[in-house]
Amino acid sequence: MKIIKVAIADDEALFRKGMKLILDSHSNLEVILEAENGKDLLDQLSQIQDFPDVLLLDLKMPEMNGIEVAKVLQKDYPTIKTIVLSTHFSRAFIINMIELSAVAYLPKNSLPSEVVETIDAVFKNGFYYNSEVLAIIRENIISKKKPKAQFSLDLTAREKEVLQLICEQYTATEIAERLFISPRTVDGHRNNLLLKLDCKNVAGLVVFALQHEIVNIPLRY
Amino acid sequence: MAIGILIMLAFALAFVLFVNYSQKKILNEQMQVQKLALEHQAALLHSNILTQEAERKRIARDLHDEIGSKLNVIFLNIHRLKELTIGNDEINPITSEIESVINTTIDSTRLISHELLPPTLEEFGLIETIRELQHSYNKLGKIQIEFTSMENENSIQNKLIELNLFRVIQELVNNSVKHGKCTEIDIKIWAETEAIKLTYADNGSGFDSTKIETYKGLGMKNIQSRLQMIDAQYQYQSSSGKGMQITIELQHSEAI
Repeated sequence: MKIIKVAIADDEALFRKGMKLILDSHSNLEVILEAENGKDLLDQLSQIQDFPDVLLLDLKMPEMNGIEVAKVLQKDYPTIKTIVLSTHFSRAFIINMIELSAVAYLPKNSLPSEVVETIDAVFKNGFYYNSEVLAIIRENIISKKKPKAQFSLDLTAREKEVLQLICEQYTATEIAERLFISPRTVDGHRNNLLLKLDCKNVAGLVVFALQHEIVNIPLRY
Repeated sequence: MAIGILIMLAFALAFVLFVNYSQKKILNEQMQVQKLALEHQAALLHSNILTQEAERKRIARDLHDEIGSKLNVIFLNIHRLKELTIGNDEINPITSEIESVINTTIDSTRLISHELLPPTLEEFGLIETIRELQHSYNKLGKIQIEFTSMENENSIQNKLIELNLFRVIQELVNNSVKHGKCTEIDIKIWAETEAIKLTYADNGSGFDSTKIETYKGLGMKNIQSRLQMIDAQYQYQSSSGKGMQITIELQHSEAI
């Protein structure tokens, strides 16, 4: 079993401590970094070779807040998958953080089991947007009424199928099973999608697909 | 004799002129005093509003930083306790109860703090905050808010203008819902580099706009002071049964 390396950035020391104890009690999770604000996080990241896979990021922190640090992370550490864990669970914050490559967004008082599930899902699928967050992404598209993409999207039927299933949060293996192809072929399609749509990660694909109405995600309320 | 009469007349004329002059002077002074009193009153109101806003901000921040974050710590630890006591029929119901109470308290702390000062306003500005207000009302389904915005990027830089316009909109929506019993509200905002224009209309019961006094009680006083404070011009129209409209305009250069 691969161990998922986790970093926590939160200004409340006791919260970090409690969260670390809970996460470390899961055999596949290990908290390797704790930071008290954005600046501290960047300082520590600059001193290590072995980067965390997943970051639990608080937004309101002194010195450098979560929004500011996400801008740097997006550019300098694109492999770290950011899960926002914040009291600010409202439209503008969620949209903004997703645009800054956050791959999941949870309210601060989520059950620890939800946090663990999200970390697993993010590690496996690259992102995890729950129905509330998906609804907000969709509302945002409607309220902005962006013109539909004019450029030719040149996607093959198979690629569209794969994109649709990625958006429905299936793993590569599950997609392979459903489409009767090998997981490696699925990876190939996914890489093509990333290249063609110019996205950095799977979360980017999902947001792009939703924004340009390429796929249709059934919302569960 | 004639000279005597002339002198008398001259005195009388001088007296009349003097009285007239001094009356004018007194009147002028009275007006000056009144004007100063009014200005003083306005200044007092404005400083009241500013103090109130500063207090709100402080309480919102303290609620979030001092209480909210500690509640989150308690929540996590209750959860750990729960994990450790699985199967203990005496302790489990207690931890579950504490967990649920803390969760509700976290939610209400957040709500109270957001109501005092929406964090979105500080971070993302007026337009996004109105949009969140719109979505939160539309979600409840009792009224439908339409919101259109036309803006240049970063066109409203002044935090005080944003805060006051937002409070005015909050108050207007409250009035529309509480007193106007409306079902639809339409908000439009044009934010240009030089000027901001905002229109607000509802389809509620309205009020007789010739009898402004009836509306004064409905938070209109607060709205007026806030608009005065940011040097905004406004006009409203309403008649019984026909909803109300208000147009607010302000020039950036005039702004504080």
